[in-house]
Amino acid sequence: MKNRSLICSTLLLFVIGFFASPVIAQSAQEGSLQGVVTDAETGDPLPGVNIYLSDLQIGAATDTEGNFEIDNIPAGSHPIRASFIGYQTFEGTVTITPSEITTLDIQLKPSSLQLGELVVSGVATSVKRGNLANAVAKIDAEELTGSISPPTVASALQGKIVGTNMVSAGGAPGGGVDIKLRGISTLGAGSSQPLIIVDGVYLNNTELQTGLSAVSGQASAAQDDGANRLADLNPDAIASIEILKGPSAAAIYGARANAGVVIIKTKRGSAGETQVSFNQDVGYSTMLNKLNYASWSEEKIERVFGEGTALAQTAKEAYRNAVANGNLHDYEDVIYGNEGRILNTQLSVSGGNSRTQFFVSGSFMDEEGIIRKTGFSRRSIRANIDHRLSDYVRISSSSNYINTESQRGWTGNGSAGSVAQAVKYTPNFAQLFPDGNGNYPDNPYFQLNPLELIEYGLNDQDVNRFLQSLTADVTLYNQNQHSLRLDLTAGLDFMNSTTMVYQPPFIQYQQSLPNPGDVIHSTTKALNLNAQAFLIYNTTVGSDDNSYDLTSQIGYAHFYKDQQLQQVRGRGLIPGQTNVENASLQEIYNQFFQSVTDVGYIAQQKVNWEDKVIATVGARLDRSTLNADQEHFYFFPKASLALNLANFDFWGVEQLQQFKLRVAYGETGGLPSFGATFEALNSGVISGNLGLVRSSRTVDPNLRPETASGLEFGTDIGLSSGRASISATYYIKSVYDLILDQQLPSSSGLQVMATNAADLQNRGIELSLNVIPIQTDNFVWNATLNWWKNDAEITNLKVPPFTTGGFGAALGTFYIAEGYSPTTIVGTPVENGRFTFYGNTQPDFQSSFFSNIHLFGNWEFNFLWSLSYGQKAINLSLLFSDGAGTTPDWNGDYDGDGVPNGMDRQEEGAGLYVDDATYLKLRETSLYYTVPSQFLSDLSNDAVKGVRLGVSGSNLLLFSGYSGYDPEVSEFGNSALQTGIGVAPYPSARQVMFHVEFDF
Amino acid sequence: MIFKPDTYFIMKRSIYHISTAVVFVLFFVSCDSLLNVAPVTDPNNPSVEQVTQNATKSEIQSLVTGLEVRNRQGAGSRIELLGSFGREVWIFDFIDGRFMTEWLGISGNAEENPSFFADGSVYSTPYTAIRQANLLLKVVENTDNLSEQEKEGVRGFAKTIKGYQFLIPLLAQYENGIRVDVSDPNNLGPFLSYDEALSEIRAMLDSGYQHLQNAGDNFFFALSEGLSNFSNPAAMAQLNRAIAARAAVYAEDWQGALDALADAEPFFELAAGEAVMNKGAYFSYGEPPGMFNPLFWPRNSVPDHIMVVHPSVIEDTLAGDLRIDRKFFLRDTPLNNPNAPVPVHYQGNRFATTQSPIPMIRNEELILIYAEAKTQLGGAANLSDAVDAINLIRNTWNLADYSGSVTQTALIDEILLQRRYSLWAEWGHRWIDMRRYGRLDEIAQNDMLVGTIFTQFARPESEQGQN
Repeated sequence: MKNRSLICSTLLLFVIGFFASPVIAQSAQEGSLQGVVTDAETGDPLPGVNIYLSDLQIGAATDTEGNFEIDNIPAGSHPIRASFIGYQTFEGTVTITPSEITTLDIQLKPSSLQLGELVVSGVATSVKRGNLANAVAKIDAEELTGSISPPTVASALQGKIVGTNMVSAGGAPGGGVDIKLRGISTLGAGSSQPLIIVDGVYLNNTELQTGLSAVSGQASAAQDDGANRLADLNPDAIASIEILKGPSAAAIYGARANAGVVIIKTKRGSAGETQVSFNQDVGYSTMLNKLNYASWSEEKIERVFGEGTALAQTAKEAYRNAVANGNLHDYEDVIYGNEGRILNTQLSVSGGNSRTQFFVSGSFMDEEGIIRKTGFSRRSIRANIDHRLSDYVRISSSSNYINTESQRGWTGNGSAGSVAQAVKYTPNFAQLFPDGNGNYPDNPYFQLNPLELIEYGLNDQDVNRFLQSLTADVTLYNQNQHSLRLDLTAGLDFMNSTTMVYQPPFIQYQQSLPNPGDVIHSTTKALNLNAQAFLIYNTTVGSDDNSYDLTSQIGYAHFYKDQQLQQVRGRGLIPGQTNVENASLQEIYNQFFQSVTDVGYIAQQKVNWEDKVIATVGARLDRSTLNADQEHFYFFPKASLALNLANFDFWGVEQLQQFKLRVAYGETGGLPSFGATFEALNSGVISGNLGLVRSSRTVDPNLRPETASGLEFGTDIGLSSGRASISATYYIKSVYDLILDQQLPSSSGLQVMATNAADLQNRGIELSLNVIPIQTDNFVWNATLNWWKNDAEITNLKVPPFTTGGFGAALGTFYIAEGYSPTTIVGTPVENGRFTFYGNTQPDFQSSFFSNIHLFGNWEFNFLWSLSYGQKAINLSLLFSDGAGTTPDWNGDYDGDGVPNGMDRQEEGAGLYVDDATYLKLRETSLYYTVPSQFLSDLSNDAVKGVRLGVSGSNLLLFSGYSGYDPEVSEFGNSALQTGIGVAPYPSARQVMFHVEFDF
Repeated sequence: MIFKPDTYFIMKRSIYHISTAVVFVLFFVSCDSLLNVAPVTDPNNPSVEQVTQNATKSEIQSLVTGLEVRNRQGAGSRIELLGSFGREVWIFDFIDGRFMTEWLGISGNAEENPSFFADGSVYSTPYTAIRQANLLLKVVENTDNLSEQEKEGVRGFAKTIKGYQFLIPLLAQYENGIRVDVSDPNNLGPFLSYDEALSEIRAMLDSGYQHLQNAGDNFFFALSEGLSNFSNPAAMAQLNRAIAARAAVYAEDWQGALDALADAEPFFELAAGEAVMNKGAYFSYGEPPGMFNPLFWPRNSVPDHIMVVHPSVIEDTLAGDLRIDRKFFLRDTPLNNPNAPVPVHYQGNRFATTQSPIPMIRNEELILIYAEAKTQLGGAANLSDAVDAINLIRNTWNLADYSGSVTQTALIDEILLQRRYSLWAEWGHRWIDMRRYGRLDEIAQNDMLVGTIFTQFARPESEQGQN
């Protein structure tokens, strides 16, 4: 069955090809269109403006002089649109005369409103932003990668989207970012991460297991410290990202959309002169926030290592020697002081004619970390081809091959394999440097020498990935105000990942083991296939001055996923060998298969009354093999209404160009994770006999998928001058039937039962203010201020309140109880039968401030501040550094009782580790200079059309009272609840980069 | 009829559209897998459902082996935990100081904290073994593939292991009592007091003993290396009685203990010699995919987590006691821990490799039970039998005959001393023994720390319905 699904999905790709093949005789009745686009106020030509004939779906972009030209246009009248960031979209009609060149010059008015921008609304249809009933965030390439050169898409999004909470897992190159849209979507059973669709391909964004946690002595694979695989996508090739934050917008994506949907579109070619663009970024990263570990004294050695103990004696001797010989070392600096080089090269060629457009790009990115021998590199090639076979058939292909390599290094929770933990245990008088032969001494203060592990340990991942989508847009009928289109899309995401985690036998920690030398090789093969077919019918009814535009769509969608993980482990290795066959203990460490199929049916109806009232209703029926009832179709409805008051005749406020009231409702689903619906017998071996043991998990026979409903109200107001706009949204996102691992009384012999046991509600406010406070010839200041908050609360809990996550109550855990947010931190001490409450990992509010300043036409200055206020984080690194005497404030004495802070903390129990994680970050800042085009054309004889130079910094400043490296931290990666727990993470880096861009 | 070019074009287009639509419909019909999805079964594991319906012999064999796996599970952690409570051992964990601070009661409180640190090995883990035994009992009821005799063999084995496992939560929870009726996870029975639960457990063991009497000469299933001495119903019945004798001691039913020991012969053997002492049931360990002996650490190594011998155990040893060499290893360099007041010089010496077995119950304990029961029953003859039994132990370990006074009090002191060394770090005996005799304060004198000697564990959070 697996193969049939695969074959059929592949066949669909061919069927699309079949559609594309019958070429219909092209009418000879064609003409051309040309013109120039200028700024309506200054008269300057505008380069890069998109000109688009929407009925034909062909377009072009203006060159550096603002000129555009489109050939082979069928004669007749066509709607035309010209759009450019920072300007109001122009919409009009153009009539093409056969065999003639029609000239159309367009003037664009500056505006902070993007009313004409197209935003997705159905799976196969879009809607003008001005008519949108949801607060859909859309950011384009300029906002995404125009300022800094972010290494991954997730890092490019951080702080830019109102209503999202994004938390980095740590500072390791290659990222790992938890994305939560409008609060908590699941308590762990469903997907906490949004569905990501790239050019129609359902992207696999899982965090792959590497076995790091096993080699470094941790039990749970959740602590493997992997990056979510969105990291593979090259942010520089992205044209736009649309974020459907809640069920009200995402309902049409059905059962997979509880955590929202992120729709990524990559850059495409446009008709006109071929454009070659070359970008080179060079930079370096350094440690963002050095903590400065506490100094030592003989008295302190006695305290830390035990008065009169042998260890204290040897430590004191080592201390005296180090002081005498002047070799006290700042190990924080030694370990994290690597100046990581960053290189990023992008080359793209795009162009085409009215029939065929192409965008081809190649990119190479290489980033070193602040720990030696860590880094992340990406090689990516892309070919996006659009071809109009006839007036009725248009096909698009997007192909992307990606290779990424990560050297993640050794950080996080792993007593046997964490450099970050080892350094906390290493006093400055320890001598850990190698002798002349490269032999490292044992670390007397910890079980591993961090320098030795950095030198000889490997934690590498190599991902090869291919993304392909094909779409065919077939106009079946287009006469007399009626059109019927068939839209077919098929997507493929194939990923092959190999990882190796290796500690050679001779290093200190391995020498303490019965079988020294440990290697785990993991191979993941993952295939996502998706196919969808939509029929879209569009018509206009009513009279000319009172018309209704009706768009109907019905569709079918199919998704198939096949993922296999194999892990082999070898212990007792021959020195220098990493092949498991050279191990005295050889083991299949893990093998895991997943196979999932979803099927959905979609229908949607939209009515647009002259852009005054826009109403949409729709529904989706979805079934999935992930559900306990695999046959059942679940129903996800949606409805929305937008009222553009400013478009009504009675509207008398000339100053306001837009005054929209909107309301939207929708429902989505959240699927259980694979395996959650099975009651398994697990295997166990005792003296060579294979036994089956009853798993301690059990499943509620009536388990339903999680569902969410979203209701949002909002208003969008824009000044006619285009100088200011505000968007405000209030939403209620309720998640029902949350699947909980209901903790069973342990005496049942079962630990947990997966059951629908809770409902929760997120309420939030999203405000976005966009202003152009200054707009003169020499100074344009465009500023965006975002502010948002989300409050989550468990509204219904059918099981007794419980705690979950983290490392138990003594170190801070989360409290699940009615009336509380599931991100509430509780812990010891227990008083009156209750744990102490310590706050919440969700911020009270978040805010970001983005400014873009154009000076003298050629200079551009950007900055992005981001503020996250009121959240708490659990800094368990303190557990290590207090015990080892390295906490920065260890030597101080807050209460003057003669006992140093490190041994005498004010807080008790888990309160010791819960820390205020409010922060203010200067995430991005950049300065660019565009070389005047006149100067360039004189100099290069028109060979070079554009040169832009820049310098940028990311994470330049961090203000926070948090006691660890970065308040943005997550030991458990993309966990539903457990973000904000730090256990010796990879410290965050500050990056400074220089940019050169050439356009030919 | 003359077609105008336009009409012709439209017609041609219509034909094209119709044909494409037909192709599309055909495509979907032929590829019905896009529409009709076959259910996905677990590709990674067999299911519980599968074995509860007319299980085959080989499936039941797998579940029997599974019960052995569950029976072994947590043995290492339990010994570490109860060994720490009884100050037989300390656990030095380089990262997590809670193995000292919580377990020794420096900052933790096992009696009050319902989610006490790392205490699964004395509650949830034994109950998973009990669940497995109950599954096995249910599977046996629902199959036609076994003869009645074969079923009796499975029942006898399952109830024997179940009885052994039930003692663990009972001893940990002590006066809180435990649930014994846990066969229906959705409808658990009430908490029984210590005495009630203990008598239920003893009845369960007796019932297992009866099943084994009716199980014929051979089991149809194979057992692990560690149970190789008990691989037929008659021998398994002796193991059952040995466990029953242990349970009888906890019930202070001294005659019951002696009766059980009588039925445990010839496993129970009153004789001297290391081989006789070590005769018994063991948990087997092996290489992956099996499991390593969790209490094996290479001699002199400095692992991130290691069980060391509590200094008081070394201090109190009797001169010449062979058990010192057998069980304790003097390290070249001592180990330190921030929460330990002194460096520790000894680690364990019982296990040769990662594959050495850990005792489940040994004849040496049965001899000591015999001595204790005889002492408790009193009377000159019984006390004399007790002294003889004690001397079997002493002589085996290179110690001279018992020379103290032959009174109940003195003999109990001697038996507790011998149990401390003979049964060091095997089950948690020291803590349980001292509690049985109300002498936990004596452990406190050995503590060397400002810790707490706990009497029992708080009822776990999962049983309380609130935190």
